[in-house]
Amino acid sequence: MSAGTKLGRGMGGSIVLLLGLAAGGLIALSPDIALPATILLLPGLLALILDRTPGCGVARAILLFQGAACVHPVMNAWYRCAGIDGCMGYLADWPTVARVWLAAACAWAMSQILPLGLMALYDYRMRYRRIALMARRETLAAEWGLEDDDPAG
Amino acid sequence: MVDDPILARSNTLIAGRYAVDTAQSLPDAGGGLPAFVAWDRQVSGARLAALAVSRDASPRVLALSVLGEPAESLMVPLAHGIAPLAAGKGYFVICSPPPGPPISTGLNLWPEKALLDLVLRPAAQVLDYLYRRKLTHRAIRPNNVFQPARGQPVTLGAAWAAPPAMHQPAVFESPYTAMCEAAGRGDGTIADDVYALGVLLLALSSGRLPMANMDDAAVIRWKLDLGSFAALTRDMTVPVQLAELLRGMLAEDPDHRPLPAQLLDLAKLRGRRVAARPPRRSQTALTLNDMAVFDSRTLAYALFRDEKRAIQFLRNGLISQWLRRGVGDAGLATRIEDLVRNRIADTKSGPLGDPLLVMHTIAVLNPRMPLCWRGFALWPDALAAVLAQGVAANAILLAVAGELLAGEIANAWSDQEPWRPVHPDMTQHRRLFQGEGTGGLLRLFYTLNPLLPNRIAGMAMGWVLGMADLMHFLESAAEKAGDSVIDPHTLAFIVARSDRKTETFASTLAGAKGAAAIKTAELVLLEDLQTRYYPVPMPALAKWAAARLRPDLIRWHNRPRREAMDVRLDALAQTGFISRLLAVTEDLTARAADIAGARLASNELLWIDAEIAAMDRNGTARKADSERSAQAIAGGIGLSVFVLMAMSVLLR
Repeated sequence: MSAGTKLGRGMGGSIVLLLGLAAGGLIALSPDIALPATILLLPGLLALILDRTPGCGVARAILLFQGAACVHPVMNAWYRCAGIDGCMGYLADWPTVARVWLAAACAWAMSQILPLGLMALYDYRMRYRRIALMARRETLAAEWGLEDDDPAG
Repeated sequence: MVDDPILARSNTLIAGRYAVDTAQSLPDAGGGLPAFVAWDRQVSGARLAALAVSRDASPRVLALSVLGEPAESLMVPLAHGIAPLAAGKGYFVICSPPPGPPISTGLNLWPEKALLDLVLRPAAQVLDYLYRRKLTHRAIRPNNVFQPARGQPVTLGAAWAAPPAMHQPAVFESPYTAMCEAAGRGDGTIADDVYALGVLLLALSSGRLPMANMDDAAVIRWKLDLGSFAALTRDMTVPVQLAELLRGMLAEDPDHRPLPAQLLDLAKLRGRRVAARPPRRSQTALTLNDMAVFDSRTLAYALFRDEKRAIQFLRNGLISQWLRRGVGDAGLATRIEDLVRNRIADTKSGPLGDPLLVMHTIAVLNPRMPLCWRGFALWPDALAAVLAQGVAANAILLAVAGELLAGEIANAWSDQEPWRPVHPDMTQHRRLFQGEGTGGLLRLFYTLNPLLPNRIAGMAMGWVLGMADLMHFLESAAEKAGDSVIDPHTLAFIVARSDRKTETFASTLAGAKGAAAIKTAELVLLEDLQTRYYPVPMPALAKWAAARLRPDLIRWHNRPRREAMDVRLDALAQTGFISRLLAVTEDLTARAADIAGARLASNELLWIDAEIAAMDRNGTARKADSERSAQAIAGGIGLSVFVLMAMSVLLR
């Protein structure tokens, strides 16, 4: 990953702060859910540490995808489990973890594949733009004889 | 009368009525000039004489403009103009026909009464007629005086188709005009005609030409040495009464000769005696240029004949010494010494100093002498004819004429003696001669000889007089023309024969530097000439002009416009107007727009090049942009799904 910019790093800090506040709030409200939720969000949290992109774009995407995948399990756990063991058994079971981590993988994959697609789109657009400019250039040169003559002459 | 269909065509007629039949010549009618039969189409059977004008000798413009009405005993010019020849064109002066053969054909002894009644009286009447119109005849000689029949009064022939006195034998001229160049004798005065009439009377009274077996130089020397009357009558007997008359008519001083009106009243004339003081003679001869000189009059002539030796003799004091000791004229000797002394002190005149000394010395020795310059003698009013002779075949004479004008020699000569005629237009001639760019002798030649044609080789068959004729010629010659149709000769012709506006364009051409400027100036001049003098289609000349303008199209940057102009030039050339061609190529507004368009196009091209270069250069930035965008999109999708999930939970 590329080195992050000051702005990127600033945004990363805000996310960490928000995440810290959210985590603190969750631990305060429901410590039994906080631990399995941490396990569910573990890839995103690791990405947040390792991500060097400006504004931690990759980690942000992973966290958002994981967050979306965690909403239903956490809400169910909120009503249906009690105690750390219960919640760990309910939330940290492999299907749930796999689904959430798969969402994280999707986010990571998307952040890696999308630039290639966008790059191809850019190149496609540039090629057409270049062809149009070259055509205009040839027209001008032919019309005004600019290859041979000094236009100010 | 006019059987030839060419002669019957109205556009070949002179003054719209006279047809020249060059197939029928009149060998004796022109007094030495070629003459042909002419017909007056308005008067049935009216046979006239047409005198051919030489390309090298101007007709007498003033006489042609003043005369025109038939006059008794004179072949009056009725009209003049261009008429077709078998090949090309010629200029003719239409005259009343000669009433009979010239008296030279059967020169015999005339009785004194017949001389006075049939020759002197009608000739004097004619001279009086001319004198009252401020004209001279200057062609009274036996082959130009005609008599219808024996006992009939004579008629003076035409003298209008050649410069004054150009064809006069030396014996019929006073020595001071006889010694001049043939074209340099000038209009002279009526006294010159009286002199020629006197010689004619003498010839008729004796039945033979006086001094017939002498060359011109000998005739002049004898006349100067003895006086005209004595020289002419030295070997013939003249009746006393006639001798008295002739002595007056042949007087050395023109002022001593009787006026034509006085010749009509011989009774009064007999009482008229003018005593001329004979020149002082030396007992010992001064030999100069193989001439034995006895008096100042002959000395002046001898100095004129050999300028080199004249300078030598003047500088070593031989002339003044001989004048003082031989002739005994100390006053004259002192004047000559003053002239020599001034010449030695004069450093301003440079190479003109010696000729000036000779000229002034001759004028001091004999004030009746013509202007003598570098071995040429002429009267200043003959400048036009001298230029024509010089341009035609005498480069030295032309150079002399140029020197006379440039150095104001004629004015210096005129100022020396108060009686000498100062040509009124000499200052203007000098201005024309020295005019910048378009000045010069050629311009002066064409200005002073308005009836002589352009002399460039291509026009040898035509008689190109004016701008319309010139344009017509250029149209016919355009197909074979090279890079230019207006050479310096033609340019001088144009300046001389056109108006001041055209002169401006001609001056521009004369002052143009560089091929492009010359070409443009030439085409602009041609456009002006066509517009103002010959406003008819000239497709050949326009085609030539289009070919000259075509390379200039390269100056136009817009290629489609250039190609369109190329096509347009061809189309406009067929219409035959140079102005339309120039309107296309010299359109300043369109040219400015073309230059501005070229600048804009150039700027746009630079921008495109910069844009393409930026595309090639910014691959890394684009990659970073795409990564940022991808992360933003992924984040946006994740946020959207998160919000949807949250909403689905909260709204359940």
